[in-house]
Amino acid sequence: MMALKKSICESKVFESLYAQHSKSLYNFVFYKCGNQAQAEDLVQEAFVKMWRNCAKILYEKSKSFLFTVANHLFLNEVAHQKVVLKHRQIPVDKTSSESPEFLMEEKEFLAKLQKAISDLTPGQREVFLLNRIDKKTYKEISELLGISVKAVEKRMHGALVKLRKEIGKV
Amino acid sequence: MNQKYTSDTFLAKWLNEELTDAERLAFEKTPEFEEYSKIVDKMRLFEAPVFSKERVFEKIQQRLQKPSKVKRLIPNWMPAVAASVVLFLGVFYFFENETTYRTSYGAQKVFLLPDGSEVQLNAKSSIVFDEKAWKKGMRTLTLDGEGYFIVQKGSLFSVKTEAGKVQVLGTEFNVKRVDQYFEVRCFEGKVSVQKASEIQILTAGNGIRADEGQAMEFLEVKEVAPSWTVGESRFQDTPLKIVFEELERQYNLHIQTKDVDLNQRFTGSFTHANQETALQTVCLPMQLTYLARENSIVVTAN
Repeated sequence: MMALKKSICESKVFESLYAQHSKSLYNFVFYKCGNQAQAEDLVQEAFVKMWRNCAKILYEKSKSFLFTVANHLFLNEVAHQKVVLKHRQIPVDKTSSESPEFLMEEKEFLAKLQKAISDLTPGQREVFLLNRIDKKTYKEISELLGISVKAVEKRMHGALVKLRKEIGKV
Repeated sequence: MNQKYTSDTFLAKWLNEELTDAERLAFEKTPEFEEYSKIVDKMRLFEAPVFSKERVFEKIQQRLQKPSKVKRLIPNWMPAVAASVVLFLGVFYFFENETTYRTSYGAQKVFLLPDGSEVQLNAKSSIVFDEKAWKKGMRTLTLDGEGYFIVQKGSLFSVKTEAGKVQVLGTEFNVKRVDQYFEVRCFEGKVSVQKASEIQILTAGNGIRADEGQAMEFLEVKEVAPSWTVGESRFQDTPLKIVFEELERQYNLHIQTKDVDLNQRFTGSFTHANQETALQTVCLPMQLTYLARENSIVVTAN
């Protein structure tokens, strides 16, 4: 018996791909555009495209198809907004015993960091956030973006240098 | 800035713990080390916005439900009608290759199904079926409105409506389902009608009907084909409400009634050729008067 190949055209397979990749695709797009509604639209668009072309895409290639399509769609959108990322902050429960001054400083630092992230170049920002927030390895990021690992590392290094500079400036 | 580090990927390697011990120790002594550590540490407090997986998936499904390969037999394909089609397609249908045939107000058309069976649709009606499955012998379609079917012999032929299901092997029959009203007339052969859990077998010359929540009622079928296929709508002891709705569909009217008992029974017919005559033939014997007002007809009791 030949091993059965999974076909994306089966709705079960399609749904499982959605379950696996939708969130990370969403984050990926969000780091580029900084707009939740736009990110949702692009995720939709990418999955709709995948379904419409399901017969032509190998199951193994589905992930890179999704990310490539989303990337292209993003580039096609005529006007992207100035990227202002609004990251939700996890409540800092351990610091509740700290002094109010400390909490103030902490808050200020986070605000600066926030601002510095939004001022990164788009290339630096997506690499930095995919690595730091989505915990993707350099190798994974390089595959998603279609660039070399070395290029990912350069962007990562550049991002950190720039963040430190920006935060130190204010 | 960068010349401080041995390479332009130095910090990336540091994060990944790929530095040599010597490199790492040297770096940890620099004043920047603390600052970088703080940035990396604080990054743990950030996260991407919440992504509502289910909601977006629903949107994707909605978009996929709109059949992209619909055969457009009638150019004015209205979004509202599309929505009603979507209603009919169960969850398991939306990935399939749906074909839709429909008629607009006052129109009647004959369509040929892939197996050679014919369906004639009365005004404001539609059928939806899966062409691929049909060719494989799954002769199942969903009807909204009224249709007259001339079925080629072959596998089981099913007409599904919201109110009930009709199954046959090869025959001629008429199915009407408008809102809650459900009517089947058999002109040749035998058909099986299922409404909820009740199943009735109809032979030629018999019919059955049921209105909203009422029990099935038997009809006698004297014609050889539905009256509407020859240019008139005939009713036999039918609630007035159903008659007015048929007038609305045939003439694209909006009928408003005042003090009229819509459950009165009407026996008779109206023509599809002339609106005035049609309104008169329904209203006169029922002792009603009608007035044309802008886009609607107002009917009142005498």
